[in-house]
Amino acid sequence: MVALEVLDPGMMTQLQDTGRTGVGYQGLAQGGPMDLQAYCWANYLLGNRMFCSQLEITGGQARFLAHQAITLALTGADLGARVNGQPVEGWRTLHLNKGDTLSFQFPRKGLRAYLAIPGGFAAPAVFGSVATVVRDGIGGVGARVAKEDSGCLIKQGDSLETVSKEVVKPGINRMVPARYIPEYAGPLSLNLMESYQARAFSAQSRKSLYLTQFTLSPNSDRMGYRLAGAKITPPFSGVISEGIALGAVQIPENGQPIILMRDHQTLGGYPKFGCVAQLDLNRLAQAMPGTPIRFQPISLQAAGQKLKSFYSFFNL
Amino acid sequence: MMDIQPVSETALIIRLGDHIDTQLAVKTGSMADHIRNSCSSELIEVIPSYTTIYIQYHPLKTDFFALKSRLQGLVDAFFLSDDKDDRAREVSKTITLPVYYSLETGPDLPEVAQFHNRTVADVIQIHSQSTYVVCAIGFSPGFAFLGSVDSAIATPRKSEPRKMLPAGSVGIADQQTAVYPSDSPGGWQIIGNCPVSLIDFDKTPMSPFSVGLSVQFQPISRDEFFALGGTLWSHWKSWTRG
Repeated sequence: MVALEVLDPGMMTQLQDTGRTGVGYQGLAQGGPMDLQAYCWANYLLGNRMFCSQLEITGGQARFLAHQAITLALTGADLGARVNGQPVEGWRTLHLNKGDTLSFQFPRKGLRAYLAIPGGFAAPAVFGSVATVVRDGIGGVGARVAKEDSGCLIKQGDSLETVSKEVVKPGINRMVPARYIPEYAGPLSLNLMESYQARAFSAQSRKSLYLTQFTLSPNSDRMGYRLAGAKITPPFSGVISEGIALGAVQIPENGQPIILMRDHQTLGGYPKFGCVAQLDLNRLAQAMPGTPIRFQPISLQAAGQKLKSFYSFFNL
Repeated sequence: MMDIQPVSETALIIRLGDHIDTQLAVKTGSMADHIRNSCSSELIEVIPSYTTIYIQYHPLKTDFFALKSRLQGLVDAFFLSDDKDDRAREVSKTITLPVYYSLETGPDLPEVAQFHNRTVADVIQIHSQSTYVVCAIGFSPGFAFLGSVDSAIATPRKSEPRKMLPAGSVGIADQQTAVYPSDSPGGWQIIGNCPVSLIDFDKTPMSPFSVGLSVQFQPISRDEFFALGGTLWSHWKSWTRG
């Protein structure tokens, strides 16, 4: 059943679910929503299970036409969403009638919005997931139509089909309580757990990592977010390639840290100072280039406790 | 040596050595399989590479300390168990991949030969007479890092990576060799092409490679290359620089 027709995919729109796990040993990236928190809230508002796929709309300028009445949840960045030209608020459920147009303007706060429908969008699961990883040529709705469209972004003319037959939930009118809605503007302080090769870094490098105010480079993508600032001298130019964790902070020879995001490669040979707390990556994924960024130390236990609460709340 | 350290709220790394050694890669690969099979419910990823096993776990199903002691037990039992030799035999199985070594599929053959003051025929002979071991899989799906290339033909990566290479390209980078399973950018010295498909997302397993597996290359003729489904790529020049 076609729910939405893509009139314009905007800057970048992808199908995402919680990610493709368990096949990293074959070199496959996990993918998944860049802002897992906003994604989870969108499924939560509709009473969906967390693996139900959604659209990750990056940078706005997208337009969708409803082919039937449908209930939606919209969270994440404020991309100036409108229904038939009338502004609508995010972090809540919406109802579209057949023929309605949902459009997005330019980003106002944050970069990525999440659009969920009851039961998720239909797409062929590969290794248990429909998450789009462009680099690996895997995931997305395209593969339903043609195999060579596997791993493609959502494009103009795509018909987005529903998994569930019941996509209208007339009784539902929910919103995320204001205290849970994150503030996407302003400087960021990222909690950092020291691990990997942290002990090999000089005291001076360690100190400048915590004292420097970095800025987010425009040369950032779903694989890695690059920071610009004082040069952090790595203790050596490379290490024997080893498994990379989400949020790992790589320090290449130019001394400019790279934070590894959802589409990160499975192995890497750069020295790593540690990992950014996973919950902080959600807010980082919404930051605009030029955003001031600092690091502050956090213990594994403290970061672990916060993550556990998050996983429990959303039943991940 | 064995050392288990946390890397994030949901991941840890087991370190089994500190230098590249194909025998250690075999051991690392079979231990990773053993771990993957022994505690599947709480583990999300088990990724071996050369000297390490990276493990991502579910934060509500276990924690670092519980997992560390469990893994220590598993690793100890793995090394003590009587069927260790059987397991070693099992993982030391070999696959043979056909390769059409030629200037039309391996445009860097002359550069590799020149680097070592050898002939192209020498390079082909030396590359195809060794048995390699899969030391890691990564970079792209099914891309297997094979060690170790004979120092007589080990050649550094190209100074400028190519923007695109055809699937099946066989490359050398220092003492490593590999087959690119899919079209991809790449900076390795390309010396031939393997016409056999090495990645298929519709199959289980999706790739014939696993860490610890032995790999041999069998030189084939142009006719055999075509018979096995090989195709020539006409873009070597246009994609070389960009």
